[in-house]
Amino acid sequence: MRRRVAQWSSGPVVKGLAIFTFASCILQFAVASASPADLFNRGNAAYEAGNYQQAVVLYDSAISGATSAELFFNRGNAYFKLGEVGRAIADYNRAFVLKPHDKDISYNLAYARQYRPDKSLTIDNPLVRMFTAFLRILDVATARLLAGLFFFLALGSLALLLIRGERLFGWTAIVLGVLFLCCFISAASWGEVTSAARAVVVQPELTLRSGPGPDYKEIAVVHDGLEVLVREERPGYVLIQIPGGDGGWVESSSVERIFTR
Amino acid sequence: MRGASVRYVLSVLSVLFLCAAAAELTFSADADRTTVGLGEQFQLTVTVEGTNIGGAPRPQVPTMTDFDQLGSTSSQSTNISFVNGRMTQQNNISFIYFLSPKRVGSLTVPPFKLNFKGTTYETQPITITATKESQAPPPARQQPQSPFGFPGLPGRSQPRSSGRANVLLTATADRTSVYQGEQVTATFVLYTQAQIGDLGIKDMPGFTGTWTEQLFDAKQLNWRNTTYNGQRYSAATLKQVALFPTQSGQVKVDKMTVSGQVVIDDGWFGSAQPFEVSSDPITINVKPLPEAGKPADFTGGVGDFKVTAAMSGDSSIGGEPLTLTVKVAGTGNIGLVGEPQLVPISGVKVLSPETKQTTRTSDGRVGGERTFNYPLIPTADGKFVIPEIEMGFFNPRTGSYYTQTTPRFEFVATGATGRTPLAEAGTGVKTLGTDIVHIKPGFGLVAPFANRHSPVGKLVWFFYPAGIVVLGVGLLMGRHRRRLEQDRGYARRSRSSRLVKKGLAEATHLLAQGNEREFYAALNRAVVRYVGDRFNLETSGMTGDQIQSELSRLSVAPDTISNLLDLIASCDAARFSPGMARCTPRETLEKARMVLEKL
Repeated sequence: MRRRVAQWSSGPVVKGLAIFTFASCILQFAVASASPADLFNRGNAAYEAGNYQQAVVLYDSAISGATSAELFFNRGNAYFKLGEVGRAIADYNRAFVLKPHDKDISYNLAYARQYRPDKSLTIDNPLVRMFTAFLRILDVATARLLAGLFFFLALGSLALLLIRGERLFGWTAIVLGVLFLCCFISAASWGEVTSAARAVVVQPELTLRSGPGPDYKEIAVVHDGLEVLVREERPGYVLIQIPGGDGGWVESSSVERIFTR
Repeated sequence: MRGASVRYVLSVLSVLFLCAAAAELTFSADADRTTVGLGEQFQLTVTVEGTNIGGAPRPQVPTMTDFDQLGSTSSQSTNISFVNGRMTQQNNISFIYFLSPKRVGSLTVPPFKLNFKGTTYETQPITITATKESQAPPPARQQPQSPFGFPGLPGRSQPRSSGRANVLLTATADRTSVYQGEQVTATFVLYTQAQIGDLGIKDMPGFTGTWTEQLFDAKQLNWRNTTYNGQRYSAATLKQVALFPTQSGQVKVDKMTVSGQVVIDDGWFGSAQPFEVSSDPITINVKPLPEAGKPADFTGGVGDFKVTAAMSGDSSIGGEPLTLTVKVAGTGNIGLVGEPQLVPISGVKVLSPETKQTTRTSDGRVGGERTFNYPLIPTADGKFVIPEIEMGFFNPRTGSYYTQTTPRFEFVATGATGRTPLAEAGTGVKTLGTDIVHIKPGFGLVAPFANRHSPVGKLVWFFYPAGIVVLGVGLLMGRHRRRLEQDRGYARRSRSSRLVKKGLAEATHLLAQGNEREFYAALNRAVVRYVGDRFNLETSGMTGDQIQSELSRLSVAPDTISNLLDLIASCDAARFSPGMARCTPRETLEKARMVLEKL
């Protein structure tokens, strides 16, 4: 059955936060010395028992000690079940970058995006989408590694050609150079996705203002789960750009950056 | 009623202007029956009638302990006549109350009161006999039909009006509070006390927000005698419609306006005067259907319905289509019954149904039949089951829902395969809902390089400077190789240091063996060859003087040259006359090293 996700009334949210804080205090002691894999399994158990808040805390501790697509995916699920669409979208994005070919991650990301009150109006050009999918056959880490490796090997071949003067090294250098370019373009195509400027609105409703302060003029209202770009940072405030180009200042805590620098 | 009020204002003004006679008013009450069965309703009509009364107030309804007030409506008519240049305005306002006795016995309707221009008018009390037995109202006596039909000249039987002609048009609804989709019957009746003719309908009422079924539409007027507001009238029903509201809220039945000529009997000759009367609009409160207990297969039917179904056959050969007929019959909003939903059947393509409808009226209730014919096309061979079809309806009398179910049908299809691709057949899968994909059980750490913040991840960026360094090394080594190939002097020079080291090592080795003579020979060779390689000279066979002149030409420091020559001389001396050595072999070796370093 389709679960009703959004609970915007303040009562349950406040109560939920209180329980959440309490639970995290208790769990802080328990999780201090466990391995990430252990925490992951305990998080899964909590999730399956329906204790999504506890699951989030356990996954949090595991994430601080390890990088894993499954960890982000599962934490995203727990956030989604708690009605925090924004945080779920952020986690699914993180998982997607680590494992771009995992169908489950893409599905849940798309599913969570449907739950946003602010619908995206941009429709991708299918040709562009196909081309991008081709460029992103490699995941970002592999593309980066291979680009570096091929660069090194291509220049090494070139060096050997200069030293030994054998034509074979010349051809090798050309092939390696082409491979380097492919990987480099692939890695560059990921730049947009892995940009550190990307962030997600994690507040049910958020008012954009014309300046970094509570007294500036209100410009727009956006909702939980909207993916935005952080354009400028001031103490306590950030300037975000919403899809469509408009932007405004909001409190830093109301958006969550997807990727750290 | 804007027109009416404007008319009132105008008439009041003209009345003042003409200093017309003061308003005279009659206030009366009349019941349509005096004997009523318990639980039955009767109409109490309170009439305010008068000349030149503008906005008469509503009468005060007394507290009635013996009667239930079921509802009320009002109608108004105005006659304006000019007699000998003087305008007379005749107003007739009727307030109709629907009452029902609470107990058996002789009951009294208390007097209604009306305050008008400082005078209090009162109606006479009316005595009603309430009986246990039902008292059906006496059927209205049918008047002989007007020979001229309708519209046209009045029928002979109509009474001729004496002086004051009274024409009324009333609109009544049998109920004013119904469920959405429940029938409301609106009736438009024309009352007259005078002969009328040239009757025409000016405004036809509109019934927005309803499905409408005509119950009666007068082609000719059938006059009957009746009492209305305590006065005798000839009445004719003009129109009767059944309304089925399609939305909840308030539904308004607009006014109907009729115009014609009225014959005034003022002396020997009657005179015809035009008139125009309108009915009051009626507002009907429409309650929404209750959400509680609403069946999933509710298709909008409100009323009393039966559902039957039939199949055109029990076998299909070669993909020949069969027809499933679902018939809904009964009374209610038959025109608003939607098509039932068939569950997809694997291997059978169900096309959208063809709908037929017939409407009937009996006893003022609308009903009929609505038939849905579903063509079924088998796309695979085999025995197929058409499951029971459920249709939900709402019964407004009980205020609850009920469901009708058709029987289950079976049929056999042969030779259907290949006609239509099987993919077109429904899968039979029923989607109930969607959710996110469940959490993953396996914990897979990403490759160490995938973590940008791990040392291995950062290593990726070292490939670029490392590559450039490698290329730089390659460039340098390549240049060196090319110079070795092309520049002999460079080749000798780059070889020289390695060779002199080898020569010196050989000399040291000989010295260690105690072979001093050979040591000096080897040292001499190494030094002379080094000088040749270093400056690209052919030194073998050169004398000391020649070497000195060549080196001076190459601008080597004279000090170094003299040291070198001295070394060569001392080596020669030691080789050819061993006892004449000026210094020990070890000192000579050190000296050779120093000289070569200088070079």
